[in-house]
Amino acid sequence: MRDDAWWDGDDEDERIASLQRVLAPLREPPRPWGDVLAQARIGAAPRERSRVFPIAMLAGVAAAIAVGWLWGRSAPQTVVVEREVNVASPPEVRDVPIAVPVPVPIPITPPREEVAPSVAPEAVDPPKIVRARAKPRAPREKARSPGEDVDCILDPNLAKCRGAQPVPRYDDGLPETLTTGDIKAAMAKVKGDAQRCGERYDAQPGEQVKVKLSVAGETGRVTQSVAIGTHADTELGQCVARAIEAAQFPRFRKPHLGVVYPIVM
Amino acid sequence: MPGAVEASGMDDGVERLVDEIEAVRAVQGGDLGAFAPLYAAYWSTVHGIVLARARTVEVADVVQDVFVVALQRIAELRDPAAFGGWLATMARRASVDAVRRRRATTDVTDDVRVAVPPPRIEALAVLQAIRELPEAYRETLVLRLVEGMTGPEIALRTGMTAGSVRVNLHRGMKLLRTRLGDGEEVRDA
Repeated sequence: MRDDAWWDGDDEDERIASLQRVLAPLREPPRPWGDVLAQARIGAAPRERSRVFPIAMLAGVAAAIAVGWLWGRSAPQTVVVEREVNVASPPEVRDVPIAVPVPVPIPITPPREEVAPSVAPEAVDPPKIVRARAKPRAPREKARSPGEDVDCILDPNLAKCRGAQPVPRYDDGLPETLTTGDIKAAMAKVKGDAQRCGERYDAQPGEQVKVKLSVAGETGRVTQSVAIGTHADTELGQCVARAIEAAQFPRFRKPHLGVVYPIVM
Repeated sequence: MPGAVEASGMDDGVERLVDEIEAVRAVQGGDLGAFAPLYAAYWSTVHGIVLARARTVEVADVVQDVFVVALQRIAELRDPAAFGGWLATMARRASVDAVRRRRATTDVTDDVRVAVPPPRIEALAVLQAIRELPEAYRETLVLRLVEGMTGPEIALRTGMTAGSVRVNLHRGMKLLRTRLGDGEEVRDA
């Protein structure tokens, strides 16, 4: 089938040919097939990791929940033990809890009924019941102290575990985001290190290595730095990305800012 | 026609399709090298699809990513004959993702002054006019005018029907002609 069948006639053909000549500078030669093949082979590894990482995260979360649950369970168990004495009190004692200021948590009610028959029916003074029921609150208050806080057990480096005040997340004086000037100023300090990568890996003068950064607003630090484009998987790209990781930006209000920055070797 | 790839009849198309099916099966069987002819055959198609949407500076990167992902996920392609449409869909999604990423990131130049040659400026102006056309016409026009593909070949490579391609080209050209002021601005560089 000839091309002409698709068009209105010779005039249209001429117009198309003219447009094709005008648009010719936008054509690009294909990149070497080897580049694609190499990237596909390298890319397989991160994909495997990306499956492992969520599983590890889930396992970690599950472990944290389990520890928290076990720890949380220890307090009610203590309550139950103390209640064994109290619950076995005579019927008139059972009326006393009305006077107790803090209601007993609902989850511990069933154990009370199960435990009560097995305990000897010894008389207990009502005040003891009040103490016994008030005690369960004590461990919870203690739990907020650094030594026993489950968060501190899991991570002693947390601010609250060191007795320090938590840093406020946002400061009203901070800008919403970084300006181009802020970014350039911060990058200027690490650009020298990045350019030394060019010397190390024999980059051509004027060669560009594009790096994609993610900057955390709360700290102004680089949370992720990867080379993109033609140097995505080259040693030069990785070297430059590592050098850029050291950049320190001013803090800002947005949680994160993505930046694409070309470093000229 | 310079740069055009001739679509030389139905037989050639069928023969090419058979070759492609064999190549796709070979890649699915683990022979990654068999992807090379597919890469060569479809590079301009993917380039055109991406160029119709993404920024010109990132087109080559996005195109490469499309082929990398295609190579990694080709086992998921059930019908090897649908490779062209499958790849075209992947290219469309990748270019849309690239546009979204552009909104989420800040590009900072390194004060590199690169002189853009006048022919490229003119080409970019025409490309911009094409990108301002309705979505349905952009891709077909770029494949025709930039990549030099013929109508039947666009249909073969993208999985679109020949009728859709013909209509898109015809109406798209009409609109483009209006936008470009009936040929006043389009002159050979």
